[in-house]
Amino acid sequence: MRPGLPTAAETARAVRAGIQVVRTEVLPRAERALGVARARWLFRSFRLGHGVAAYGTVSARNDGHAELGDKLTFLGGMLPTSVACYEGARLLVGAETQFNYGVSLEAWESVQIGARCMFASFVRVSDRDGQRISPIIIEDDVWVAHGAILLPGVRIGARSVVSAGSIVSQDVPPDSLAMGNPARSMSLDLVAREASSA
Amino acid sequence: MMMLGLGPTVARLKLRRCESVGLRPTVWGRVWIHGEGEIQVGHRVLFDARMAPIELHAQRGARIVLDDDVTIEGGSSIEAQSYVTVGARSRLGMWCKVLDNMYHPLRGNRHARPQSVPIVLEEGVTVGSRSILLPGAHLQRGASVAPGTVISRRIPAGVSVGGSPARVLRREVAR
Amino acid sequence: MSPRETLRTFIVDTFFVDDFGDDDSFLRKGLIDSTGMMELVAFIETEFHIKLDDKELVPENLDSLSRVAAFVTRKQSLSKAS
Repeated sequence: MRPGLPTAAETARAVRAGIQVVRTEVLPRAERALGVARARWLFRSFRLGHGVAAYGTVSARNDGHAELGDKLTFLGGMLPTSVACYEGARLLVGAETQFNYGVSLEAWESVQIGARCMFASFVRVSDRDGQRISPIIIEDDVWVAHGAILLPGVRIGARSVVSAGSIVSQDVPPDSLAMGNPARSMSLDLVAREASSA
Repeated sequence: MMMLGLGPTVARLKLRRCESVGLRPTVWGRVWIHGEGEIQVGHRVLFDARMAPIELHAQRGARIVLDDDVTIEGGSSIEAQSYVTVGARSRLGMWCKVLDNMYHPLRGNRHARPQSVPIVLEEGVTVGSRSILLPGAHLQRGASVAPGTVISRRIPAGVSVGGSPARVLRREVAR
Repeated sequence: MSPRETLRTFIVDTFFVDDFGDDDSFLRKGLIDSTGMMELVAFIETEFHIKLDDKELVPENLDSLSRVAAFVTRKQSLSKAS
């Protein structure tokens, strides 16, 4: 058999495979690299972990002590996320925490966020509400759903969930679900099956 | 553009990724259409996105249906993993969020995706701004939702609800 | 009406489920979701004039109709005693 020119079908297949590789391999990596570079630039005044990626606009400001952990993700969307740490304040964010678009994170005294947390769009976290300033602590693996507002002085326990649109004014114990305005917490055992079957 | 009578043409151009668009659509501002699902837009639908963009996101295999004379204000976002339908003459206020999937389970592996529950808004429904419609929300004819309410179940016809958790504010006795 | 009947009426009217036993787990049978549970708590507080503590919102107290009814009765007798 003589090696000849590939047939049209073969060429088409090769091109399709090429496009597929570009779509699934090259583009996401390029996007990721761009996100990391953008985060480096946006958070230049922060103490930054490695692998932090910003896929959209983030307005970041640091006049105090702000530390962001490794592998954070900031997603982009219709509203920019804003991260602000004012003079003399402390803002700590743990590793692998994810922020959707439109999150507003403000530290006037102290805001601590654990590892692997998830913040959905339009979540507002601020330790100052006009009358008082009181530190906020969010432990590991917390999920704060769309549009929730965390008021000053709350502590959210590990693995808890803050439900969409709730306004949290009291501490939320670990493994519970906070819901409503003002938010009340209930045990996750009451509303969700055990981790194994979830 | 309005004066030149190009409004509907421009609107059609902005909605080009929809499966079908009815007569005389109006689009002010930006409408983002994401995903590979199907989006059907009825007649005389108005997208008022002058303040903030509107987001319509239909995942592959999902469907969003906006019926005739629907008005959607800026900053609203409809995300469908299965099926979202908005009935005729309904109105979605600013910064509304309509989600038919929670995206993360309450406990356990946060990356597993829970099941979707379709969202149905029947005719003449009013949804106030900043409201959140969660999986399973079903607003029946003429129901109205106060601003900032979170809903995840059936609301009977003609009832207005508000607060979080949602409470009935008023029932329409006669029409 | 006894607390049990009042609660059953509320659950049937609000969550549109009618075929459930007194000992059926709300969670396992998928009768009431998390938002619904919060509504049930709000209903208990207004209807029976008792205040529920967040610590009491656990399955042992609220996961089935008989448990809720027993819990409400217990709370009521406690508030009367004090």
